[in-house]
Amino acid sequence: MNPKDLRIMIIDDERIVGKRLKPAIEKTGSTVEIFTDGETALNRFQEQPFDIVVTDIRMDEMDGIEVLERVLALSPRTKVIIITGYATVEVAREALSKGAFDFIAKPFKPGDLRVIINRAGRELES
Amino acid sequence: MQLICISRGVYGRGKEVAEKIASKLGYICISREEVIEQATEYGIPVGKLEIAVLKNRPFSAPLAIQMELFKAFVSARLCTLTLSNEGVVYHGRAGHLVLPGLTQVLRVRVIADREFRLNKAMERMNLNREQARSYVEQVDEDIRRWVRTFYNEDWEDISLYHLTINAAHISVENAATGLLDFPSLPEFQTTPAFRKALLDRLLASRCRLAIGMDRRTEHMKVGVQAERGHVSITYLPRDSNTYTSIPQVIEHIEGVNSVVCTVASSNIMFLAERFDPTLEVFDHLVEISEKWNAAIELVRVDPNAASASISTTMPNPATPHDSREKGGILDDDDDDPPLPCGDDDCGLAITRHKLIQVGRAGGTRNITSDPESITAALTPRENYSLVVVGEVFGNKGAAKQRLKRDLVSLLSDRFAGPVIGTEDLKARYLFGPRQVLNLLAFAVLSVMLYSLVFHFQEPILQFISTGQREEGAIPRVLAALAVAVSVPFVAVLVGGFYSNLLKLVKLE
Repeated sequence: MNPKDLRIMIIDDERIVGKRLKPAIEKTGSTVEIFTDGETALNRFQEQPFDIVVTDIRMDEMDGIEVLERVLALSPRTKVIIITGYATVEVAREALSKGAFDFIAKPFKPGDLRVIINRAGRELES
Repeated sequence: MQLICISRGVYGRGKEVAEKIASKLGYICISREEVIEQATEYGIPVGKLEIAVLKNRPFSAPLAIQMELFKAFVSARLCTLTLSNEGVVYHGRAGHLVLPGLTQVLRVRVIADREFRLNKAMERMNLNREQARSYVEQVDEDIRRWVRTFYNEDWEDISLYHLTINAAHISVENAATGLLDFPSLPEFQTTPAFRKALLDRLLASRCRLAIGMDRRTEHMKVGVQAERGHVSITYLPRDSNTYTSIPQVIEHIEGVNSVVCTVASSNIMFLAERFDPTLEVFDHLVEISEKWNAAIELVRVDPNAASASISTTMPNPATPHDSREKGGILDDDDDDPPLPCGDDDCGLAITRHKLIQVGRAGGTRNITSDPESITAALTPRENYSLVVVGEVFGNKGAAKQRLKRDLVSLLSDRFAGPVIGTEDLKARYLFGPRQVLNLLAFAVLSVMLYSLVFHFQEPILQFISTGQREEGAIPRVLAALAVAVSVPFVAVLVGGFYSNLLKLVKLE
């Protein structure tokens, strides 16, 4: 799938994360929307599904694992990428077992995320 | 002041048993997850270490330093808690390995059988049986890899534990009750020596953390030891320009009385165009480095690099602790330089990872491939115990061997320590079948020589003393000549025997 056609949702309760990632991901031509809580993001997802969801795992109201489960229940084709600063193999494996596409630990460069997004885009195409 | 370390896997009831015994003994209980959280807050990107292990990626040099910092952080945390409490129960995946060498630490493994764990995983994570099986197996594999990478140990090696409990068939209550008597055994009692060891370990860990978190010294790979407030730091020769900052970095730490920084006395440099940790020569290098307690620096001779260029794998300046105000999102312009051999990295990354695993990593760097540039790039100030030249000048065809010999010769003039090719490594420094034959041959010849000398003692002494007693130059010259010829001969035979004998007992 061409990066320009990708609709990407970024969910992180730290506002700075979305603010820094949005322009970096938009460079590829994708449409990016940012959210700071899972509930609002899922409401938006129900209105219009996204191809890729990038979500933090540790958030106050709804954690990333719940976002992952609910997104995949709504749209099994969507690729969910988990980002976190507090990763452990146990949590990462849980996310991957539940269908997460990939897992990336903070701190990271937007370029690292773009590589994963491109890979997800290619899988969506096939 | 007692420490019980419990090693556990996922859904193996280790956490429950740890909490129960802590509650029964009135000790505080701390989990690995809590320590990870504190370490991440402190600025160590533990998540990156976890994901590198999960994705089975070789550790980069900066990540290897973060690994050292994490180990120092855990050590400092546990020492602090143990010194300030009656008792501590720590539980985590490698609980038994976090404070090596302290014999009073009670090390316990808590396991549960597969079926029990699968059921727990299905119940807790709402997974089907296949997903749960895959989850448990993959996490176990990740933990094995973690323990191998961080401590170079086998997680399942039962000799590393004082006891192992299968908590699937007994209740948590009974498992904890069964453990209750162990902490009161004489072997686990607090002694002044244990307290001193904890204080020394705490100070060393704090100093390591301070060095790793300071901009001036964060890139340095150092060894830190503390003894009653006297801190000794060993650094690698490549850090000869920056080590002077270390005393300024650590002198303010409570408990530091004096600081001594010394360049590591044994370091091995290994030059090659490509590296492969599966080759025999790599095993030989590691064996030698273990005997000498040396670090191995990998120097890649890049045939395509621009003249006289040198690149070292120093950590990225955008270190994790200054990424926090950016929400953990670094800048894209901090891109790492491209790998010299494209994606395969000439085996540098995987070889470095293996050296990190065995605790012998001494850094990596790239230099150009012509002999003059190589010698210009390697400063004589860098004091190496041994320089080993591997496969180089691969693109020079038939001249390859000659150029390699020239390089060995040029480097020999530059470095005080021996410079040899990989082909001579085993014969010079290790004991193999060839050395067995040499040892036997020298032993037989030495015995024969001494037998002959003692058997014909009188005529030999007579011959030598003739030169003293009789007048005339000829007998004197003959006697002197006989001594001059026989002494080196004896020295070679006896020296050869002892040289091989010392190699055998690893004391050369």
